[in-house]
Amino acid sequence: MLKRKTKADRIFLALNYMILTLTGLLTIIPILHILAVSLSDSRAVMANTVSIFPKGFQLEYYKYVLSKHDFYTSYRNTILITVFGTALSMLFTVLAAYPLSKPWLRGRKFLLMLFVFSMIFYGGIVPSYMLMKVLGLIDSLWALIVPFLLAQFNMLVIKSYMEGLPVSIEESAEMDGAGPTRILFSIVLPMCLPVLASMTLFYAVGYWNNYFHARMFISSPEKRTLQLYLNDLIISATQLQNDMTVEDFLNLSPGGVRAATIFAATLPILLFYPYLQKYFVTGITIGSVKG
Amino acid sequence: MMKTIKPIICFLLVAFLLISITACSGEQSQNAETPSPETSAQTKDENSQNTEDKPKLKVLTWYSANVDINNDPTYHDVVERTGYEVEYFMLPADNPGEKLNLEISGGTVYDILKLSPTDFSRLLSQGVYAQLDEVLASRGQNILNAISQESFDTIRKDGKVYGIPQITERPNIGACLAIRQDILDELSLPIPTNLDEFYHVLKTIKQKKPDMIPYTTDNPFNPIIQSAFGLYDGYPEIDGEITWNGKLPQMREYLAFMKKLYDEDLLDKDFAMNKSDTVLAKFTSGKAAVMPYSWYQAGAGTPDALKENVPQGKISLVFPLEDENGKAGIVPAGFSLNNVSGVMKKSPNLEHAISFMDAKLAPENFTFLTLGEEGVTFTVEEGNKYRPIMPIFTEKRGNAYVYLNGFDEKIYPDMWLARIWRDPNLGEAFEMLNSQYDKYAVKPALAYLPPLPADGKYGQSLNAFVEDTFTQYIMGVKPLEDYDDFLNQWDNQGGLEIIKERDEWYQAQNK
Amino acid sequence: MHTKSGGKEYWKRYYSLYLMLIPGLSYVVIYKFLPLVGLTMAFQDYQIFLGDNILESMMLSPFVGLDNFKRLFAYGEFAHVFSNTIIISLMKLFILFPIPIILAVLISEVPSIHYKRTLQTVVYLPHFLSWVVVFGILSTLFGSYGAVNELLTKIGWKPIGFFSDPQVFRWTLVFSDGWKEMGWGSIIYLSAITGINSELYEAATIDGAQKMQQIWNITLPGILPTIAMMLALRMGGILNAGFEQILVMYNPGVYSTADIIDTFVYRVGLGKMDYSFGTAAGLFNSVIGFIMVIGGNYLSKRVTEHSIW
Repeated sequence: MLKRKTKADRIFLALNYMILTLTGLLTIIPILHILAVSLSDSRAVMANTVSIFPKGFQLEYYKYVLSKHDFYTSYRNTILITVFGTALSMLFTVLAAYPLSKPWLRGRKFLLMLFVFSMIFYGGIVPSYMLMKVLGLIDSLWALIVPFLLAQFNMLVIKSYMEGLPVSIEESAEMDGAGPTRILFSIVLPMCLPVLASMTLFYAVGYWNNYFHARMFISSPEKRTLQLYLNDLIISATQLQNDMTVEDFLNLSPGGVRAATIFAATLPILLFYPYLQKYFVTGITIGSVKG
Repeated sequence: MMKTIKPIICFLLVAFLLISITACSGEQSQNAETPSPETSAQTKDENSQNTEDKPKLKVLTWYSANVDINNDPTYHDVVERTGYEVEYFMLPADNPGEKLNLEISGGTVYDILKLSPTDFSRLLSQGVYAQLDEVLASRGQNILNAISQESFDTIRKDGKVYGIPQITERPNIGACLAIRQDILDELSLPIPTNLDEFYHVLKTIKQKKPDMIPYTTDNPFNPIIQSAFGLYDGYPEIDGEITWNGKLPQMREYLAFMKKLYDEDLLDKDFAMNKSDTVLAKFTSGKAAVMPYSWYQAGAGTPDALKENVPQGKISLVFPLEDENGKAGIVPAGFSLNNVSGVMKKSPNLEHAISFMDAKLAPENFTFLTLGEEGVTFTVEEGNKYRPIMPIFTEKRGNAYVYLNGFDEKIYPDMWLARIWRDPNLGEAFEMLNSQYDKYAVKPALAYLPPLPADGKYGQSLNAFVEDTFTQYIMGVKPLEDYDDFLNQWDNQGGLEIIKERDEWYQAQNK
Repeated sequence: MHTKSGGKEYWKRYYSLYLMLIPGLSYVVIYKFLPLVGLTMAFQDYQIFLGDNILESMMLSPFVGLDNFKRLFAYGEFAHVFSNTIIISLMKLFILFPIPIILAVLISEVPSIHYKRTLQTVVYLPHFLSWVVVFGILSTLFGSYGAVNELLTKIGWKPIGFFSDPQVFRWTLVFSDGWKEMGWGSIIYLSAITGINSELYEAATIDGAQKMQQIWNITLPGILPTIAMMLALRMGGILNAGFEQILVMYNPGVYSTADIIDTFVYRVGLGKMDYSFGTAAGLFNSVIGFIMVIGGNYLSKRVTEHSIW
């Protein structure tokens, strides 16, 4: 197959690169600044004189964030929740999306209304807390998974994608006598890899970043999550109490602590993303199932 | 395709199983920790007779930074000296009141609650706390010796005591302004002592150094400037009655003055969006010449940071500005309740909880648990000059304040200074500011005001409203002519109730 | 051929589909629907400590009908913050909705895989920053004494109050939101583009179609279902103008244009622990949002023939 590059195409490509590079720069420069702050001497941080390179390189902020025993327990907890939660969520979501993607399913409209309705109406933290209490999940890591077991939005995205798949393959499989479960796992899911990858990412990030539920439902120090730990760290750097530990205060501006916590929290996701990325890249024909 | 899917399904099933197991064990341990109300009622009588068997106590307190609360050196000493196994729980730093409400109303039981006066008051009105008069008489002698009746009076309800109050450690002057001495020298200006001098200094700085921001801050209030208008006390007594100082004509004058500063570019144009670290940044980078200051900022590395960015930078302190008659004043920090420790009615361990807190206040334990050992972690001269031995003091007793449930009001105010002197910069700054304590200190009319219902209900939103409106006046977003309207709104948004309650309390105090 | 007619055939063949629905459905019913009981708080004077537990308190608290709503609407400011909410939301919708789509299309058209990957990673990073951090950077650059205004005064222009001028502040809100979320928002469209049959592109190239034509005729229609759904759902959030962002970035000088329902309710309710009031405001928000989703979906069905249900 020939790929002829016309002049218009070349102009388009050039413009494309220009716009994207500009966007990339616009995005990366502030990030570099934050990175620099996290590595800078606290007097420069306090005076806000750091640009995009560290001023007075020091690792104190990272030491502060990483040095406490709490950090490792909270990290472990977050990883546990994220891995199991994401796996469970994807299972629940895919199982719900597939039937709902069949336009001829009886009761479909009603069920979808249910999902959308529950997406928009919210009873408040008070009844949710009560529910958790009744289920015996207060102060349990499970309480951080349950709220995200099925994000209706993610389910709708997957459903929408499934609706866009060619019907012919499924129909021929049905003719061959395959049941819906078989069709789902053997045929449909492999065709859905892009959306499965992006929803896995969404769930993983949702679990990883969750702060609100952890703050509400967790009391025991050893069950705290990463976000809880980091947030408390930031607040403690900002609190000017008469009785604060003076030594910590001398070296640690809140700005620097904040910056270091950002990278401590985000790095794992940054490492996780490349694995999923390949499913987003256009042009890869995934198996030979399309067309 | 099935080949790739199968392992995924297996993984998911395994994951599900593992989670179920974790969940079940989570539930079990959770159920074991929270005693249900029925068991509490049953064992209550048994426990009160069985003093040999010390139960494990659960204490809920607010968030404290940088402390491994169940593992701190002070914690271990507390357990050893009192003989009680105790487990501490902390509320989140963010919006703790919400979590507190949910937990308590949801039925979680703690033995001791050490909370802010507002939280205490709110829970007290809901009947959460046990009455302490009898048990204090029988088991709380040290507590009664350490804490004065006046302090207890601030939290009595219908004449009964429901908590152990802890007042703020020691009234002290915390606020001043930091000003760039090197710039004053350069422009041959004196440190301002009254309003005219202050204005003149700012004006000259703006003229001679147009790139600088003369005065920066992050909110519309400033006690140093307000002093020049005779506005010291937030709720002063005028003609025998308590009123809000926003109702005084001087407040309008103050706002007009601040507006003038804003209009003439003498006040940071971005003051409304500045956060506290922005203010610090502008000053230490050399951009601003004057900012609000305190002794704990002096100890927190501010002079150092300034020197780093502006080698010739020197900080001088501006004290409360005088009015035309040379009078100046400021209400010191303090004169209030810091926290209240109480025992939940639902707790089965009332007697033990009191014994626990009592043991900490026993003379042989109190100094040890607060400052450590004389000659090892601290020194004392002339009977009341306590100083820490660094760095061991911080190692051993840095977080001692977390474990206090009230302190010995006769000796702790002096002992507290030892904590300040952990950093000589801090200590020096504290002494410098307080060297003029007698000259400037104005005791508030409502010293040691207990938390009142209207405060809890309207206080926060009303304060936000005042701050927002004053900011808008200064920025010119709202005209000062509307001030009477504003006062009406203030009244209707709970202000009137607050004044009424405070006045009632004040009259009762001073019969 | 699906057994569209009712009867045993249908159930026998497709019962497993309904079995599949059980986990998700039971989750939604238990975790999302049951707590909706809490919405009754909006019609009560809810006192959390009234009963022995939260539920009992709900049953014991007095019923006040529409009082909480009346209170909300009675505020002189309500009409104002309501209009601010709509205006900011619509601004964000019109300006920011297309951007992730365009970005996704541009990224997908880049031939170099390495460039694609690097750019994607870079461009979605701001999503992970908190608004506090973003505000810190923005205020340094765009504050009255910041770098941008310094530049402007140097070239002889007047300084712009990005954060203090009520007219300008809304734009500050819109563009900072765009900067932060456009990368992350493009992920959905990127994965949708990946799902387009590549043979369509090959066939079009053979037919001599140029890039722009291919994008217009293949890519965009290919992701139209996703776009339609996103738009309908986005409309459901019409009263969410960005509470967290605005709370961090606003100040009393710009309340006139930037105070939204959520920030107003927040300030008014500070320290009050008035669950009823907050629930009522939230319920109001949800009702409007739900109507909008239905409306948006209907429109989408009319124009694009795609519907959520």
